[in-house]
Amino acid sequence: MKKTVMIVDDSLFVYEEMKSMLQDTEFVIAAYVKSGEDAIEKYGEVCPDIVTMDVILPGLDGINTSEEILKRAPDAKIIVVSSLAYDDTIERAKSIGAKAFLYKPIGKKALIDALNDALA
Amino acid sequence: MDDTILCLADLSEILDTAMKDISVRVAGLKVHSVLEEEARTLSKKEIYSLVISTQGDYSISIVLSTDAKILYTITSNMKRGRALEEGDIPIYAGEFFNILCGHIVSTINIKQHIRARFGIPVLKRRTEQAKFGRTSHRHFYRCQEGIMELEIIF
Repeated sequence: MKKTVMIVDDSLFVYEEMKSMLQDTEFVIAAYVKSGEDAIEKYGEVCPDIVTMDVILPGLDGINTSEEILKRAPDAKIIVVSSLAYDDTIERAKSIGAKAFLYKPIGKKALIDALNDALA
Repeated sequence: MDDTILCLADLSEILDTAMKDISVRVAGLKVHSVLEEEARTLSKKEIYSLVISTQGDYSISIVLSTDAKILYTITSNMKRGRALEEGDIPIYAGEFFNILCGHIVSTINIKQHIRARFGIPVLKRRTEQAKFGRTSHRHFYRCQEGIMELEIIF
């Protein structure tokens, strides 16, 4: 059975790229949302195996959203995605329990490896 | 940002590396640096600017200015042949700029051991020679479709 992924990113480009990269893999996109508030709500409905979470979002940012999801579902697997590779958000993401950090632009191998590692 | 922290030569290298790399990898545009004199055609056209400002250990604004044709090309290339829809340009060109600025700000952060972040890029129409009232450092790039100006404002 394919593993389900929820993409949280305000950029349609990231969603389209990930959709293309995940074609013919063991992963399937179960949900795509553009805001932290929607992510929290959708996570409860979909219960995806893994979440990719952009840091910069309109409203609640990706780190606070991840923290809230992990508070409600401590076993949630979250990969934080950002265009900023050196920032205290990376440390904060690790401290709240994010499984990995991906730096944009994301390549297919990096994405699949991160998804597999996070679920291992 | 105090310009004594990072010399202009270092800053130029950071801008050039990020601009050339991200333009190819994300937007499929091969760009090369040109002198300001060669870039003057940009100021005669209808110009749009993508803007971010940093917060944290230093405050700078990064502005990418270009014309509608290049924004269209960036968006079209990022959509990989899918039809453009209304509202696509701010989303796709904005993400291109977000990634570009991420690489610029990350490199400054790493080189200087300082930290700054930025928010969602804003796309606005630039009035002729609009300036932001602070010291700036500008680079110009040419691609097949025209000219782009990348400016850092301290």
